[in-house]
Amino acid sequence: MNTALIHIRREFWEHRSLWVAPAIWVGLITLMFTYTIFAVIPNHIGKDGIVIEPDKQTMSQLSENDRKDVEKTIAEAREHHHQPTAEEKDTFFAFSYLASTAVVTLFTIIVVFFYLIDCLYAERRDRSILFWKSLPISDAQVVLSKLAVALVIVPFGAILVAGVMQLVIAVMVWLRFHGTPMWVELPEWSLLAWFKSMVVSLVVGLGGVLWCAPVAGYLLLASSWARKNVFLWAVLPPVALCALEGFFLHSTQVLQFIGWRLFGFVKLLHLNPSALNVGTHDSKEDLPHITDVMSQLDMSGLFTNMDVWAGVAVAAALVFVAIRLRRYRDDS
Amino acid sequence: MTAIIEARGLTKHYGDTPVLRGVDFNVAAGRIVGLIGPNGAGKTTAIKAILGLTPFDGELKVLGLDPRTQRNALMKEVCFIADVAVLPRWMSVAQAVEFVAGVHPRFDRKRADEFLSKTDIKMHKRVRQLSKGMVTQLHLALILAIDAKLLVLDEPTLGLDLLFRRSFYDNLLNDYFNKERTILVTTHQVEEIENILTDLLFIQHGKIALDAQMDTLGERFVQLVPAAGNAERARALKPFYEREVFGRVAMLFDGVKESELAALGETRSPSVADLFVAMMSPPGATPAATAKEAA
Repeated sequence: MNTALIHIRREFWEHRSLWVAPAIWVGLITLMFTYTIFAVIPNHIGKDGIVIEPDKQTMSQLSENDRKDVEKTIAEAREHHHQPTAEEKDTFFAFSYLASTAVVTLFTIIVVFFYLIDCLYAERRDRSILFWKSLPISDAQVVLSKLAVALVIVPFGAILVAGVMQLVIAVMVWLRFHGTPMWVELPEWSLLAWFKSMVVSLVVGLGGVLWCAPVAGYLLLASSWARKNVFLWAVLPPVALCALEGFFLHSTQVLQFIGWRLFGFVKLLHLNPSALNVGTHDSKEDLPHITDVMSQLDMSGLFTNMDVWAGVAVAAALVFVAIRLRRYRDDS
Repeated sequence: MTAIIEARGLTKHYGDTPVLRGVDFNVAAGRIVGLIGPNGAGKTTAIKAILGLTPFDGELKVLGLDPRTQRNALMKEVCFIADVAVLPRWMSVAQAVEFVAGVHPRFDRKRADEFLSKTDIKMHKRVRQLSKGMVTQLHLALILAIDAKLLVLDEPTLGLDLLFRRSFYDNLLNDYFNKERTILVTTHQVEEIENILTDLLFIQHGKIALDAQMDTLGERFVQLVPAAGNAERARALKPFYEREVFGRVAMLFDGVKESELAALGETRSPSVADLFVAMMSPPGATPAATAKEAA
């Protein structure tokens, strides 16, 4: 266990972008949000929040007919304006949390991509592979620790960090709006909604990790294989295949396959947009309803799908080849 | 004596080029063996084979283990310094110590810290911030703290100044070497290590050209500077090498009694560097022969 831990720590020592880049990204999001609620919102909508009252001076300058039109519009606005229900507040939180987690994890995926193509190549580039190989560490230990960092530690760490970011933002919102008329308009902070969104994010993350495992395996293999220009080795083959297919066969099967292999797992989760009532704006129903975010996900589709397990098997084969390459390759 | 390394018919090709051509040698426990050869002779390939870093043909046992299939077990007992360039440049000194402590069951952290405290190396510095000499000291500190049976050094002092080179080998002898431990070292700076070696392996064109214990070299090899008029008599005893220095001829003999040669001129034991030059020069292409041909 301690050996596994030191291998993981070593990856973060070497590839500091793994934690520095997401940390900066999360910090920026938090700062921008904080700046917006403290500095921008008061200037635009006033310190009292949303006030649906006509401006007396403006009204006095209007003609009778115009004044009546304005009063009618304001009356309609007041009629449509309603206090959100607790359920709507939960839903609002769940969705905003899921969205903010997505923003953090999508950024992290870019960081992980560059980590994967570099991690086995860098040790050959600086010849430090001879140092690592002078220690009693197996090639499988090394490669699998890198895979664990890319597919477990960083993605799930990013989701947890996004969760913490959401808590910080919730505190900022409370500090800014608590005690102001705006507070009643805002959804109350809900631990349940936060917790549910975290669970959903982690479950979706697990689906994504299983689904994208062969992509990670391919990138590790490229990193282990390339003598130089590892980025080209990683990117050029699929791009070239797409281009060749388009040029000679005028079809996009490869592109579709790659798209399916990258994002197809979302379909398998059976997310049902209609069940979430997203986009319905009937009178007071201007927020989507979900009573339980978890109930919108059907993980069975993911775990019973043969494509998922075929992908995991391909990933295992690619990682095995990467381990063998590292073991027997002699270009140090 | 227990054999730490046993090589029989060790063979390796890079493409069509043979690098090791059926090499046989043994390294016994508690010895310091110099594996010496010109560039491209196969030294580094032999070491890579011993460490399981490259595939090869033939039989090779290191500490009774096959480096091809039992590399992980082997590396618990074997330490290795390739040259000063291999410590990861992004690593800090503290991280290097912590990592080795975390993965090596035979690493004594206290010992490494003690060694480092005697140097100017600061724990927070990164390897890229250290001088070449300091990087070697750090690597040595890590190695000295490992209770290994075999230490393999491939050009360990490459690019270092004389002071660091001397201190490297002094530390190795004083803090590491004992009868339980064996050192296999390759270097071009033969003259600096010949006093610490117990055994000598010359390798040339992928073959072992000389496999001898240092304390037998004096009995086996003799250098003779013949007195005026004795050169032809000396040549009749078949020196395997001769060269001209300042108008005088120096000849090297293998297996001719020193007492027999002493009658012909001035004799002494050749240095390892003399032997190296003599044995690595192609037959018939000695400086003396070349000079004669030119005349």
